[in-house]
Amino acid sequence: MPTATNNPSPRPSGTGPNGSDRLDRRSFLRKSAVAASGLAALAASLAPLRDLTDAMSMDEFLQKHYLEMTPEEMDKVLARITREVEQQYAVRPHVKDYKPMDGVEFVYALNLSRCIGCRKCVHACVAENNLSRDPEIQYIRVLEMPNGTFDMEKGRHDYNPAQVPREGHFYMPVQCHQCKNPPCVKVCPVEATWQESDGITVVDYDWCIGCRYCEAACPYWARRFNFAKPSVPKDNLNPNMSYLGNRPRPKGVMEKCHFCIQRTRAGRYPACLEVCPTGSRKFGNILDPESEVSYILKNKRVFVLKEEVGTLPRFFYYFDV
Amino acid sequence: MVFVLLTAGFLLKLWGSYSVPPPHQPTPSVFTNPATVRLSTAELTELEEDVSGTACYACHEEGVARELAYDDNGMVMLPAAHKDLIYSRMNCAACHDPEEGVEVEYDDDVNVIIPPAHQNAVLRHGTHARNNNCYNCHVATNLTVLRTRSGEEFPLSNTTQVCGGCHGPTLRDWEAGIHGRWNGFWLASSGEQKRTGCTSCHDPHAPAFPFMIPGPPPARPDTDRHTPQHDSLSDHANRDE
Repeated sequence: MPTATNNPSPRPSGTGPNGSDRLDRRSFLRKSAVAASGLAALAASLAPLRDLTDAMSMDEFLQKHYLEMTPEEMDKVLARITREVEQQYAVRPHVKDYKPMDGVEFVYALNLSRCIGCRKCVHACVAENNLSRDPEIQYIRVLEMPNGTFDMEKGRHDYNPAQVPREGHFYMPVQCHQCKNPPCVKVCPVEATWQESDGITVVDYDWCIGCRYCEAACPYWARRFNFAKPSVPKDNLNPNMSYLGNRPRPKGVMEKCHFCIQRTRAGRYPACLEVCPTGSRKFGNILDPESEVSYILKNKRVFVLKEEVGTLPRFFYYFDV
Repeated sequence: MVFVLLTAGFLLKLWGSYSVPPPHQPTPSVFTNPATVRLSTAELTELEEDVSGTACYACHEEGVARELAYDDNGMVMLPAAHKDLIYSRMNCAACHDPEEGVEVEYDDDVNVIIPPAHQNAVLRHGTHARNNNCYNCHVATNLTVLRTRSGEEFPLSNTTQVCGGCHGPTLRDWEAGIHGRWNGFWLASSGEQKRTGCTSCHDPHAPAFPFMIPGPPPARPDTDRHTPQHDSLSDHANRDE
């Protein structure tokens, strides 16, 4: 019976020091070339991020929600905005965070008998609030309506006759109604828009994610989206700015009429009212029984637009004469 | 294959329907300045500007009531000097950019063509000829004084009470701040509230608000409506029958 004998000679092993796993020069070069091209491709694919860091600084990325910021943090943010505006527009702005006043609730009233449709309010608003000229964003839309109807489908905003008012028409400016029951606030998934104690619905442009739900929810088409980076001519920039108001907006966020927060919270009238040549527009504090708007609500037959949708607007229309 | 055709058709449709909006024109500054349409005598006096247009007795004889001439329709016939007086009180800056000159156009007889915005600046107070009588408001023997129907007299620089003599409800609204312009501050403790009198917006001789050139329309026109334009209520009624 043959005995099994162990073969004493070691079997040549593939994992020995002379085997194929030893990194030879050829495979090293091949592998490092693959790795280098992979890294280059990764860098190229991340290249758009380099542009992004220009648009959003680390401070802005880490910034808190408006309502959670301490006054010191707000000061830092305002300093950052001042710096950015100065870099971009070569104008030193006065950026402030205007807070609502106690015992003040703003209400707007518009006399449709007086409005002649001259669109001065539209353009004064654009100038005051640093609205984008191209692509064009306007908060106020003046509808030319045929007499005898309130069918909004019959109103047109692109009228352009040689002179206004045109026979047989009345003019109905529409802007944000600063509703007491605002559907735009309800739909916001990130709470970037809310109602302040003085009734103004505001947007934190640094918190908005640009989903446009609020635009869809608004029954008055009062919200506008920045599809592109807003362009404002340097020499037309209004340097009196507020955080929640007319500071330059980034691309991809919503904006809306805020009753000229930088004016009205400093006691001034909004720009659209100041420029109205006919005195159709009236603005004030509804909690003050002596104010103009209180008089109008007491003495004129006011109505609100689309009352049936239950938004409880703070913007009242009326006819007199 | 079908998908490719559909995509091609969709792209063609898109290509045909998309039109680039016209390039944006800068807005003239007249659409953003808060100037009043007129400069009233009160404002001119306050600003110490030229009020020679109200110096009635540079031409008229003081203390003598001037006879008025009427045309066949019972309207007062105005001498050319008074038409000029009426124009000169308009506040040019409300509609014209001071940087840009105004191009004057002439007709075949080399007369200036008056643009439509200026054409309602004639004696046209209300719809009745009887409202257009000079001495309804001016005192016949002292033209620089205005008199209400009840006999109260006011200088030319204070017209509100004279206008309110007939336009009572409007005066009441004006006093409450509802009629007319109120500029400056809504909060009286923050700053001055600037109010304008009747004649800063209304020409007392033709008080209907002047026509204006509208500001440029939005770059994006109204799209054609997809909703049917017929009256849905009557349509519904027809269906019920």
